[in-house]
Amino acid sequence: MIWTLLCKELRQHWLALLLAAILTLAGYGLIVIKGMIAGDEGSVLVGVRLFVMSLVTLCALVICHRLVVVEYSGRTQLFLEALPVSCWWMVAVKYVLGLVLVLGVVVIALGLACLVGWSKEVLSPRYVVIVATRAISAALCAYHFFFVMGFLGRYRLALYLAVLLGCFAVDELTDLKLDRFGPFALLDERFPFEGERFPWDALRVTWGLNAAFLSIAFLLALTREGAVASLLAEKMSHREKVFIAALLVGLVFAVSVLEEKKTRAPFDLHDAVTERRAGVVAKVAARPSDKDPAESLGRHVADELAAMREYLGLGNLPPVFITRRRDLDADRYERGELEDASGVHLQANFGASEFDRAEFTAWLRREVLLAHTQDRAKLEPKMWVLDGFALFDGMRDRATDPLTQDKTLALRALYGQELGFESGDLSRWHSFRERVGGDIAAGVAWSGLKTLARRAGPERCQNFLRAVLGVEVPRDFRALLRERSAKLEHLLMTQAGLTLGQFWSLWQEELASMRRELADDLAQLPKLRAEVIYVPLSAESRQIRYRVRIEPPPDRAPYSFLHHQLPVFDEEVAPQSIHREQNLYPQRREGELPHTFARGTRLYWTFSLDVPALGCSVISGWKRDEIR
Amino acid sequence: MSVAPTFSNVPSGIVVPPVKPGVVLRATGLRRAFGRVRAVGDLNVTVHAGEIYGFLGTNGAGKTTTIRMLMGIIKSDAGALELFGVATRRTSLRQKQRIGYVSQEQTFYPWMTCRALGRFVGGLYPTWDAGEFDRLLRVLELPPDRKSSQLSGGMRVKLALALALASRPALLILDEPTSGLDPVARREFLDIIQGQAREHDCTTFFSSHRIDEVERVADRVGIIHHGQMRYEGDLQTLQASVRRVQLLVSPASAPGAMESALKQGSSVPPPLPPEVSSVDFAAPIGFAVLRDQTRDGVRTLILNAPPAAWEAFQHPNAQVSTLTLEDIFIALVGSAAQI
Repeated sequence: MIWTLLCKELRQHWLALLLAAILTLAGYGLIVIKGMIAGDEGSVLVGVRLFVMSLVTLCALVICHRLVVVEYSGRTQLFLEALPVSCWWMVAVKYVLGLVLVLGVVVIALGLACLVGWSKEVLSPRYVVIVATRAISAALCAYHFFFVMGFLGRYRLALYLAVLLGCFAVDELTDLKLDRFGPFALLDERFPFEGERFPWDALRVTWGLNAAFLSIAFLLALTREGAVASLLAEKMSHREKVFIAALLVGLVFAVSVLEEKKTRAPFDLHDAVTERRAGVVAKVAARPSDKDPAESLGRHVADELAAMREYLGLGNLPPVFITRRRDLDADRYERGELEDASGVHLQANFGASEFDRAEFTAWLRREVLLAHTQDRAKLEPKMWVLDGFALFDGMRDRATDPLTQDKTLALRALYGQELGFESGDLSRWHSFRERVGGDIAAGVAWSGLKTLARRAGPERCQNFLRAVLGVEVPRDFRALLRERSAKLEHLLMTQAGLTLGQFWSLWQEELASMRRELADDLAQLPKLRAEVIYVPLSAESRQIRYRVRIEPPPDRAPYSFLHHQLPVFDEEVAPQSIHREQNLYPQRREGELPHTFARGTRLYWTFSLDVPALGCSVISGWKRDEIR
Repeated sequence: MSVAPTFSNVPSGIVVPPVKPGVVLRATGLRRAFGRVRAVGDLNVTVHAGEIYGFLGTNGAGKTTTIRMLMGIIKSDAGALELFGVATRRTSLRQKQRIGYVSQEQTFYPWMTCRALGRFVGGLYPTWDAGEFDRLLRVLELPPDRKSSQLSGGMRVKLALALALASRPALLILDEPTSGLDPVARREFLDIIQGQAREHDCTTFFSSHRIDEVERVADRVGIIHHGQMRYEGDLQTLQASVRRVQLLVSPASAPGAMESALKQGSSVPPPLPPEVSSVDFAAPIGFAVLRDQTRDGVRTLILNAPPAAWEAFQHPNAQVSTLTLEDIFIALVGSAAQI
């Protein structure tokens, strides 16, 4: 009987199984060849890890589909059960055949890896046994998983999706880390290098899973004389399809909402100066030598944030953590990443003598608001309000004073206007920022908010700012709905009593008035022009040369060439990823980058010049070029 | 050895002509439920060597469930089974190897040819006769190298029969094999069954809901209804046991009704004396009432009694007539149809 069943399986599936095995091993061959060409993987067993994770898993899926799903979905098991064949043997033959194939493929790959690595690496028997145990256990776990899924018939595809989603949810929403669990832990990054210790915990879990999957598979196959598996293999009704689809979409939605709403433990800094105000926590990490500036900065930040919170009517602000980065220039600030923790982590060289606390606070304000609104304050139609508010809030007591009282900011606004500022730029603020630079754009936006405060009154201005920046944004699809209903023009009308057209006219009047008053100062401000030339060094290699012109020419002005290699698709460029080449004008009006670029590379570049009169730098305008 | 037919609700003790001795299959008190639905309840079946046993029942009567229990495909909830003289709880694989089975629905491997199917199935039966299988393919006009997916419904049934017979089974079980066949193919199939049974002395148990089929080939029948056996015995005895008795309820209350009711009959019964009302009629001892209905002033009773009892039956106001097998079947399964 066993032989007859085995012959039947082989006659039915020989081509599919042979192809699966050959393609899987061919795939492994490619992995080995790639590793040999790259030559930087550290061990030949690195390829085995990738092989088991991807190709063996795929191979197990194909094998189980052929052996189990094809039998039950074709209802041919009903033919077998009428013959003198026990259901148990029928399933057992399928199981053993699949098992031998999966094991065979893994063992061949391991053998090849050992053969290739024998002369290059120290492969002790213990090392090989550990790696083999890990690889085989993980591969069998995948095989057993797909074997049991095969018996779930019409629900298996939905369950695959649900399992994927479940794994994602567990990994993202809980403290359990899947890569440290059972079969995933067996194939972690230590897989090719661990030659001393057996990962017993992961092995125990994996073997337990293997046993559980196998038991469930046989249970499904044999319960009620196989009737359960037969019923599950029937085609899905239309109603079931709709139900399952709705369930999965709901599940995806629930996971995404939960992921958004996940409360992360607040980040903490030990030995930090902590300042608390109502709804505000500011912590500044300090060495004993930095204690005084840290305490001073902590107090200042806490006071400013508390005032901002009150002005905008915000709830609790995310806690702010400031650490000192001595490698940063005093006027450069960076935002740190907080993995699985809430809060805003900021890095600055706050102990440096040139550190400008007000400037830092303006930048910090923007970052805190972004964190508080889950980056929604950065949506383009309202981004100018965010940029302007960061500066405006620092002088909220003088909101209705003439704009020229803050000469530096007024000059920034005029400088930005001179580079071309139109009403359409309000809704294309990212483009405007790229054209004039973040600091200048913020100055322009500041002048807008000042206009609003002066012409519509400080209370109306406050109402408008509260409506734009102070609203609690739900962490789900309602945020989108709110975005659609709370358009900026509408808020301007309802909160400040101005149409966008009226507001724009008033703004232009204020700028014109400032221009009359500050015309001489404005004329002194340098204008930066620059061009970049791609010089072919070979068919594929290019060198970048640049030429800078500053009018009126300064005696001595340090300028920077900022550039970043763009990926295939555009994305927001993180400030810390931008490279900076510094030079001196007019001594070096022209220059070239020391390294070369491949033809076709996409470059994001600008030139930047510090202008003391503006208290910031101006740029030649960001450009995106493909190197030809 | 003699075997008496049994009605589930009829007094026993009736002597009938003996059939071939030796019991091939005996099931006692078989019971099977699917959830709350009782498919088969306390069913008794006895199949003797060499006979063709017609297992008759309406759709959903429990025929297929019974056969699947006999084949060991599903387990019975209760009951005892005796196959080839060996008592068993469930049909073993060894016993299955002595049974040829044609199921209601043929689900062969679509990629296998008739010949390949023979090779595969042959590997599971120690008594497989490859030559006989080839002969059957020829006799049944089945193309050996055609894939089963390319066979018509009738050919598939024939192939199933060839696969079932080539192992030279001691017992052939057929589950409504002719459903879905056209009249010509059905007749041909029944001829083959009859021929095989006679030629090879093959005990055959076949289920059907078609009375004409059973009447045509079966030596003995079992009538199952709602999972319970209503009759088991030979057809002649059945026809001699169940008869129709018609009585006029009251001549005054329904003048001319008797004539009207008996228009289709061959003779007009003697008039009922006015002092006797047929409402007072009571079945004599030993007679079981299967049906009792009054319509248009005529009371019709279907009575079941041993043939010998009918010879002694006399009633001045009763018209006794025999029934077709179809009418008997309807009476036994309690259908609402008029008899």
